[in-house]
Amino acid sequence: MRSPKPLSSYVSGEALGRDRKADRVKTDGAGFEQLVREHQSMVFSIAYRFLHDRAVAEELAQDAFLKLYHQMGQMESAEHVKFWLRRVIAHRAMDHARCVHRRREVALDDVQEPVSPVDSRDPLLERGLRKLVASLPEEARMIVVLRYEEDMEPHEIAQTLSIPVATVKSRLRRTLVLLRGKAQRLIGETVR
Amino acid sequence: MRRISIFILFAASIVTAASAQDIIMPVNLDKLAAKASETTEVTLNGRTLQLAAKFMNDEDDQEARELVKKLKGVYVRSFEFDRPGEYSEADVESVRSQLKSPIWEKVVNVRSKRQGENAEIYFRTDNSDQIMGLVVIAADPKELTIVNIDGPLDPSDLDKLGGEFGVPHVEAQRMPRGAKGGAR
Amino acid sequence: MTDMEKQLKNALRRCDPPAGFAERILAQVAVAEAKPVRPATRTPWRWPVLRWVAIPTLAALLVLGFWYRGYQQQREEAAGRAARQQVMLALRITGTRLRMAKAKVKAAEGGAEKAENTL
Repeated sequence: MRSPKPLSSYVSGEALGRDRKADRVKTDGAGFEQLVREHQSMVFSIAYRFLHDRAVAEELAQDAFLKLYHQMGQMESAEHVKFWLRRVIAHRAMDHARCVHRRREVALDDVQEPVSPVDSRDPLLERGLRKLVASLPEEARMIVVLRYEEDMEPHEIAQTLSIPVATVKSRLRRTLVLLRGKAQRLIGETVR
Repeated sequence: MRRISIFILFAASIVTAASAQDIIMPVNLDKLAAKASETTEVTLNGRTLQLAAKFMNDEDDQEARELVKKLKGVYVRSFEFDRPGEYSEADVESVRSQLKSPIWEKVVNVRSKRQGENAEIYFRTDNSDQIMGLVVIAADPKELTIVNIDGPLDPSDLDKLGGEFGVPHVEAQRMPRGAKGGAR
Repeated sequence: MTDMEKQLKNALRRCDPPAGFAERILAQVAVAEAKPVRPATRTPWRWPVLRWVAIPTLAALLVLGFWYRGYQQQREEAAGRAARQQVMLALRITGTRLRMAKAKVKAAEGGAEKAENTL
């Protein structure tokens, strides 16, 4: 079983190529609270859309924020915080999935589905798509989540997951083809 | 067996739902969930529908909101199976038998023996011919869906059910009273 | 962006964490920030000692109190929004089944008409 990476390896302000002096992050309590409220949806959603386990997603998301609290002094900028949080939660979620060693079962037997701000136009299809995404291997699944939930570009995904950009692009391309085929069988319609 | 289940249980509402709704979803239907690869269960009584209506404030929700506000209950049981034959005619009959009373009228009955598909739509009307309830039974070899909507519905509501929520309009074709069956 | 990708964006859109999520984190931080009690060597019950114990504890209780009130309210809102989503799902399923029934009726009527015309 692969042990989780140390969190210190996730922090890399230099990797972003940002000006250290610009847009310093407030390290006081009010600053931290603002960061929590600003990024709570992002962090929770990445974990939840990946793991489909609300309780674990909340636990991992809380853990990520508490780690952030202790690392506030190392944050270079607001962008750095966002990158850091995405990277931490993505790796933690993937490590959790690998440690558990079970096939992602999309059991949405929560009493309440997490609230999404926009109502869907086709909940049946979207539910089916979430199920298909949940059946993907971990790395491909996280690539899809970061691409379509977080609107991240391939190079950003590559930095977050510490994999080559070419790998991100090829995995994305193959995964879309796979999902398209399965979605067509699912809904019996042509999906462009 | 993989199973997707979306299940909303409001503990108090289950008791009230059983007493308030005209059609009772039989226990054997719930047992089908164990065999289904995908299960959708929706149980919403009047109180929960009113609560939901309070949160249907988007522009796109307005027509649905007007419909939902006057309903007393919405009940859905939908099962998808990996193989044909996972449910029996008796499972469906346990619902159909409740629709044989005179207050229920079968308005659509389509059977395809070759494909094994069956679609039935029932209305419950009051003395003034106002539709007060709707039941849809859609039975395919690998899929069974039963929908019960309890509450007043206009023909325009039926159009909206089939139209405004993302799918093309449906005109409900009411059969004359006393006519048997429908297109076969 | 293709339809498939748009549907994926819809299916994977961000969702809110459980009600009170931020408050729980802040409460954990607040409790962690509470200073430890220093036992007085001579008079353990003197006011300054109690002050350093009581004030952070009261602060934490206040935070928890406010959090709980907000939590209850957010729970009801979450329940309402969840009920709305289920209503839309139920209406969507109903619409799909009505549409399919209509299609079957039309197909059957078309077959009957064709049979009549060939007689």
